[in-house]
Amino acid sequence: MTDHSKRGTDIAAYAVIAFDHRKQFVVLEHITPNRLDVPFHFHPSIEINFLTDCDMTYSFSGEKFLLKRGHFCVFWAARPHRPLKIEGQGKITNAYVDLAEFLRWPLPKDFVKAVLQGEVVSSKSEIAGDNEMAARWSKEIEKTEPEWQRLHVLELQARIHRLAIDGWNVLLKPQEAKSDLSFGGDAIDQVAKMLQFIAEHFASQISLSDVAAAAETTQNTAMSLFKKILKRTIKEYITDMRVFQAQVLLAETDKKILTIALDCGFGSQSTFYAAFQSQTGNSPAGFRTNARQSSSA
Amino acid sequence: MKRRATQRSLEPEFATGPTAKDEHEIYLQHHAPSPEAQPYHFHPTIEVNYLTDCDMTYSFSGKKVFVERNRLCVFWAAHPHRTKSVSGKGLITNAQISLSEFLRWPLPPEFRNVLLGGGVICNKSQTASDQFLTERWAIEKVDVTDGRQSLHALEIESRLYRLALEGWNILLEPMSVPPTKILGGNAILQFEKMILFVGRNFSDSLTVGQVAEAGEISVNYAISLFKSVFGRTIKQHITDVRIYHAKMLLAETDRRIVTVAMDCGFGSLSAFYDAFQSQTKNSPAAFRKGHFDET
Repeated sequence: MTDHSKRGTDIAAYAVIAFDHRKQFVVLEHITPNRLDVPFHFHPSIEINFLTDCDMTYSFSGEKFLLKRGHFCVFWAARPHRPLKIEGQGKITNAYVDLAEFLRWPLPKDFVKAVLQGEVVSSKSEIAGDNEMAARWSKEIEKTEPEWQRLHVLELQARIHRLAIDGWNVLLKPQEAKSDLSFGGDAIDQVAKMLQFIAEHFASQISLSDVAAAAETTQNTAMSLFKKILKRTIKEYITDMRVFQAQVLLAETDKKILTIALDCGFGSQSTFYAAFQSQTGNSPAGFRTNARQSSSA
Repeated sequence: MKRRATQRSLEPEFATGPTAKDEHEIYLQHHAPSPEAQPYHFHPTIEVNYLTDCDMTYSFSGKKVFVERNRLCVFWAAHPHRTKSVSGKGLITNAQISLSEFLRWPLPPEFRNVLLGGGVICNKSQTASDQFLTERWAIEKVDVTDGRQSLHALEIESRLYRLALEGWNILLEPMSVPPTKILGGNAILQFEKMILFVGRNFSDSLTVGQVAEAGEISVNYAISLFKSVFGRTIKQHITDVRIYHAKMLLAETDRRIVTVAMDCGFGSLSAFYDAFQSQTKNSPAAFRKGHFDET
């Protein structure tokens, strides 16, 4: 999943989004985008970007595209991504929305489907008032009282709803995804429930039947829906999440590799090694060494 | 809507507006405001106004309320109101939100109570983004698909939430400030039905039993529901509504006082005098005189 051509500098980092699940569903930030400081990062939340006075070239595991100023950009941030190039002196306003919160928003199903499939979407045209809204949020970042949080959630929700209703541009489409899929609204809800369950439980031993039960459906339906919508099997997806988590622990802690394997829900060290190697093209120990070198450099 | 002959062709109009029974919870309108075109009217919706290139003076039961351009003005339109004058050539964008939809929004209690108590408020400072927002509503009002409707509801809800957190200016003080009470979904619908019933029928003699029946609930439950949302009994609410209308008719028409009393559902002139005196600390005749002197 990492960009192999630049190994050593592009070690994936886990962006820690501190959601307090009882109180906080959205985290806002307003920063100067800086390509040098930002390694590939990923987090199991929906990310929303808005650029003022600058344009940005993004790399999503090596695939590049341009995000222009004045356009809202929305994506499921579980896929490693980082800015490559910034043109202009400006700011980026970011919002990270907890997946469960995002799924509670009654957005059009085709939009939710597109985002969960891994499409990076953006608003079609600049809308008068967006710059003012982003500027207001940036002034209110310090206001973390529950009612201000709720206001920001509502405003984000309304803005994303408008984006979904007005229509969106696709900046990046996962290669495997086909556009001729059609399935009903229940399918999205069920897959969303499965994603939520996996996000909360991947670190423990979970079976296919647990995942199907979370979506209140049979194992066969669960498997075929998941594959249809996310282009991965449930098992592959759980392994992805575990490896993402293991990367964080390897890079940021001194925990033993065996402990990390078990903490991330792998049954044994050998299954961990095999999964890690096949997903990252590197061994856990090799990944850790690279991460240490890059952070001390 | 009831039609009666009056000298000044000013007739109250009960515009129902969106309610829970309708397909849509929100109506958007966009037009040039005009004092002549409108009789006094009332509708049990929350009204959000935005004026461009003109200012407006409202009469709320005889009280003048000046609404400045480029501000969001919000009130519960169940209180009789009329556009008295407009200065400048401009447009108004109105959003009408059904009472039940509004009560479902978890807005700060103080904010909700000021509106339910009859207050008229506006945002403290003008922002360019309000103009953009209301311009979009004006363009999109013809699109009544579910997706667009729920988008507008969300935009209005979030805009009102921001207004509530940033603070507001009071253009007209609330008559009463009801207590805080969050209602469940069924209670909201029952409450709305009763409010609608009183709004439609206040000019007839009404019993608490009829109001409860309109809400399809028991008399005892109806009484406690009213008390918890309004801090008023059903009887008091009926009287409140009658007095609001009586004030409007006294201030805005030449109708005789006894006619006003009967038109507003008071059983006798003396019942009208007692209620009016106790609520406004003034007699109907003095209220009318004060109003005409002012204009």
